[in-house]
Amino acid sequence: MNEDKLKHYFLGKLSEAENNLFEEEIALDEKLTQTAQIVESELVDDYLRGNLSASDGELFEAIYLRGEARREKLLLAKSLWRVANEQQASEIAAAKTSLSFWQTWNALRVAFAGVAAILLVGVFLFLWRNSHDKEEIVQQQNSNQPPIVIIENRNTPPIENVNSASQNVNNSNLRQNKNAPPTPAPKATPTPTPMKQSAPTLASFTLLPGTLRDEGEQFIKIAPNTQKINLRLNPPKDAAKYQTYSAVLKTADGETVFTAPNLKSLNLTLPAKKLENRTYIIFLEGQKAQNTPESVAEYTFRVRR
Amino acid sequence: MNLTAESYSLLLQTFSSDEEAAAFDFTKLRDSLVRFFQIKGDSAPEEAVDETLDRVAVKLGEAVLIENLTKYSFGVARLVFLENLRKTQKAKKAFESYRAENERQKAGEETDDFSPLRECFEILADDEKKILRAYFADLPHAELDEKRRKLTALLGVSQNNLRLKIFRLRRRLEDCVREKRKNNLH
Repeated sequence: MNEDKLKHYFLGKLSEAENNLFEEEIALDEKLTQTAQIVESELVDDYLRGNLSASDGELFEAIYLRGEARREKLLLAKSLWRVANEQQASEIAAAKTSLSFWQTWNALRVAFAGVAAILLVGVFLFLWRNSHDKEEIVQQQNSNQPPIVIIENRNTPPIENVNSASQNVNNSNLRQNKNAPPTPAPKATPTPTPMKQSAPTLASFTLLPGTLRDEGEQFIKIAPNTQKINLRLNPPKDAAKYQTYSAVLKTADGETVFTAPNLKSLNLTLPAKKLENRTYIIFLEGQKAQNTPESVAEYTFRVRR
Repeated sequence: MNLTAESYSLLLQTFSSDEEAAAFDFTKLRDSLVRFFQIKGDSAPEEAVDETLDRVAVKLGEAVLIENLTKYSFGVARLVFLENLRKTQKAKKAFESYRAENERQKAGEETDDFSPLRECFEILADDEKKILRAYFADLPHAELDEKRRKLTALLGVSQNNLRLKIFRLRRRLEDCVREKRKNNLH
């Protein structure tokens, strides 16, 4: 069976005579009916996911969605996509909290070894700090400025960094700051300071809610060797009232690129390779206790590489 | 108008003088008509089929010459479908309502219409849930294709078998949701 013909049938692309013959053929054959129903449900999925062409999307709305039963199918499909992904998120969260005793024991052992290593590195850096006075680069965001920036600033704390190597660099910078002479106030600029080739593999940016079209587009500049991106979402008014958040990163065309459910803070980390040179929107939702998630804010930004 | 015993008997005689063969052909036609209304997107296929067969029986009672009963029945079914569609006149309203719901959700006023499906999802077996989660993962198109491909390998089934499996699970969920909504109304 030509599945394209079935799609054409549902979108009303066949002539009336062809349409009548075809639907009788489908109805008379149980197997063909089943294939038609599979193609139909996949067509609905394609519509929901924005995979139909503009003209097919119009036909879907004008022709396919004529009956109440089909509208119901659409709503059920939408629910299914949503519930399947909610379930996925909750299962991951449950898995994280249900570590077995031995997993917990092993985790503690690893954590202990990590603390010991950090202490050793700290001692080393303390000695190193007293003998060197090197210029450092600190990635910092200025929340008063719309664009995302990487600026030199010795007066503000360094960004959170999950990469241990870069963490050490930042910690040493912080300690150096105590003795360093005051520097001029940081000046935000839409063009970030270029990162060194040996720069940390994690880059952190702060995003402001909204599109900020009036003040210029927000953008983030990703260095070629960056592996992970940490996005800090500047909280809008009343954001603190939520217990958990979820963020969905989409392209301007509506394609979902990354989802971060059950966030405890407005901070998400994702692989840098997920971001191309284009505009993205983060849809942030907040949830209070058992309540239904509420839309909190949207963050629009452009990626430059 | 519902299918009466009299009209049913008249229909059976048209199919065959042998009662058993007639009943078989009748059931076959009835099932085909149910599928016809399902494919057309009728809200109540069974009732629409009763209406169709009753009209066909009435015509037979009026001694109208029907050469091909199946073909004739589909013709009547098509009219019944259009009448039902006109009667409800929800075509445009249906999509407007869907759009309005989307707008409400965007505005953060989402009504929890997903709860019946959530409950039905929970009833599924664990491995069925896992399959659905993997199949409907909210990923970009290419990544989702890859995930589904891996899923077929993991389950050791062909792509078409997986599609069929998903379709059957969807059907069960849809039936379950309808049942829940019906119970909530009563």
